[in-house]
Amino acid sequence: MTKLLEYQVKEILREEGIATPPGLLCRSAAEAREAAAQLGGRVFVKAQVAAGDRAAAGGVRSGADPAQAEAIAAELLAATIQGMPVEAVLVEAGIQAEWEGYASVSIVEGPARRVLRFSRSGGTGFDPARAAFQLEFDAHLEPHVIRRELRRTGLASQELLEVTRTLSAMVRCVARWSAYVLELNPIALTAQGLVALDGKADIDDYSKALIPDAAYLEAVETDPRERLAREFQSRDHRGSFRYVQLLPEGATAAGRPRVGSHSVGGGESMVVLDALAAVELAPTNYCDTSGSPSAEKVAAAAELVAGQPHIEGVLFSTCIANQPLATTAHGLVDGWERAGWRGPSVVRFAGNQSEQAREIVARWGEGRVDRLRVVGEETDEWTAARMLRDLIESEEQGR
Amino acid sequence: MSFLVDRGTRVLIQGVTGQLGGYVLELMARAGYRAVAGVTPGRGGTSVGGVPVFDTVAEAADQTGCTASLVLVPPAGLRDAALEAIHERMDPIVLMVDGVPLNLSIELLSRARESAVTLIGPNSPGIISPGQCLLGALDPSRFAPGEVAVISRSGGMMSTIADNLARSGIGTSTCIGIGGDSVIGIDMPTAVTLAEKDPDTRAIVIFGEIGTTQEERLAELIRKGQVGKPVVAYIAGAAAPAGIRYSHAGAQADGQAGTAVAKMATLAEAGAHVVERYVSMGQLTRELLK
Repeated sequence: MTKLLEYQVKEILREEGIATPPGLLCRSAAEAREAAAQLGGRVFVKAQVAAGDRAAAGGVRSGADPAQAEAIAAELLAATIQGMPVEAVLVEAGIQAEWEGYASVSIVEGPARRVLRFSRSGGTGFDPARAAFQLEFDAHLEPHVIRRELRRTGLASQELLEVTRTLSAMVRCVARWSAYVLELNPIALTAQGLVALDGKADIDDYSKALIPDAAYLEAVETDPRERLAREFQSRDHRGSFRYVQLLPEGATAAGRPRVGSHSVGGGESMVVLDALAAVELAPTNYCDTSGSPSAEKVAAAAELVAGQPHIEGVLFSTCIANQPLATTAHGLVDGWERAGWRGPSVVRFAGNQSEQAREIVARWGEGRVDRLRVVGEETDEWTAARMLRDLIESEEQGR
Repeated sequence: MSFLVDRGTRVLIQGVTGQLGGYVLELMARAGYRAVAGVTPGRGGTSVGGVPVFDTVAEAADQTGCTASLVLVPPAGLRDAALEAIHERMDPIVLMVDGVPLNLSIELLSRARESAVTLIGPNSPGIISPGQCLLGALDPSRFAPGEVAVISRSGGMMSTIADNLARSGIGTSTCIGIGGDSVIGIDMPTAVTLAEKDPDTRAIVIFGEIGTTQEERLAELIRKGQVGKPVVAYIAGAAAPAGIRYSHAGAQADGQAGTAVAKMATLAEAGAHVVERYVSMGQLTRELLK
């Protein structure tokens, strides 16, 4: 799923008829100053990062005048919050509220259903499980059902219509945008009605073709390798290709050798991360090519992984896979060839055509790569990771 | 014995005439399993690998008595095919396809619940009761019959773990790949509850990973004494940073919630046998069964 930024959430809320405070998105301190002047009075300057606890990390601050707003924006735009650089700030007018509460739609498990929650109290640290109003549903929820249940929690008649209207709009919004979570916290009652002061939304990546504007899911991805992987996957649907940059170039790993990771299987990829960590190797990336991908797709992934300039080795490993691994092996060596990869490598094949696959990689390695080990399922992931560590160390000693 | 599927299960494959259908039939035939019917609308009256193909699930059920369906239909036709299977009360229904949009998953789960049929998946490799029934794209040579249930959030790792068990002389009663998404039909606590009730299952092996609350809810069942059989658990992703979406849509931890370390601690406190490496599951399970 993709976490939207606050300003994006507020755009989709407004489309659904949910009010948000007057505000302007700013990418420089000067823009923030202008925005504060335009809005007038005390403003809030809010870092646009998809961080969980943004306020506690100092990402939301208030300024009394345009000069203060400018100074805050300058600081925030130079900062990183939970590892994420702040590329924009939202400058918003302060709001006079009667009360600040909580509203959300999310997924509960066991069985998996949507749940609508509302509380007249909210804010940082509010536990949604304690919301007075909680209503489970699947696809649709009629306003009269929301109204009836809100009345049962004792909500006053004069607030009933406005809260029902907003909660109904939230239910429509999660359906239209295929959201796992839509959370308005706080949501404030003002003289003009309910206003969403903050908003979070997690959108389902698999619904990209169904949501009103797919560009919302693309704007968030900033890493160039992740973007390449996603673009390739959108062109070639055979099997899956998922790449995540865990350590970007320039990031160190507390003295641990940094290595590329490439696997077959979503579960296997997780196991490999654990195995690398167990031998004190730092994976710079996560990469899974599974579900019978084309050789070309595996090659694109292998080239991305092996092309990282900051790695000292690569571990490739498969679960006991059904996919024809000979195809995978051809893709792997093609990708490594394109990346000019000759570094220490351990390749582990398990499952369908694993013998053939081992031969393909071993043959490619002859005369090309000194430190290459090709193993089968008799060697587990932890042993394979240890082998890679040894190969890297033997190279260091050889220097 | 087994649960959810057994010797009496009569397998239907929806989308049998596609490439994946042919592959699955071949896997089944190699190990002596069979499908009684296939359905591909517009291809009724033909056959694939000796399996008769029908236009509708109703006809297939009428003429072959099929009781459970493996849905191999690609995303574009998935909703229609799955709703047809639910309507005809196929039980269980396995949804293999990966990348099912959230709203569709929620709708299918809700319809299956209303009709009281078990949905496995989406993004599931299927279910196998070795020697009795295969309803999925699994290599049967990795699964030996026996008395241990395997419940896995990863398809590939289910085969890998069953193979590890078999090498330690441990067979399995029923193995279910419940799917890697966060919105799925039968989930880990429910599947384990079925294993607990199955008189021929003596121990339960699970493959969990980061994200969702399935392992925590299972721990709660163990703590309350509702699961008394030994549970051997491996949770992947201790080294995977939180807040990132990996391959499985369900494998996403948020802050401290849903991390592998937290899940392992919760399960261990409840009394499950948590291993650090899945490769030690076979040996540990064998000792527990002595």
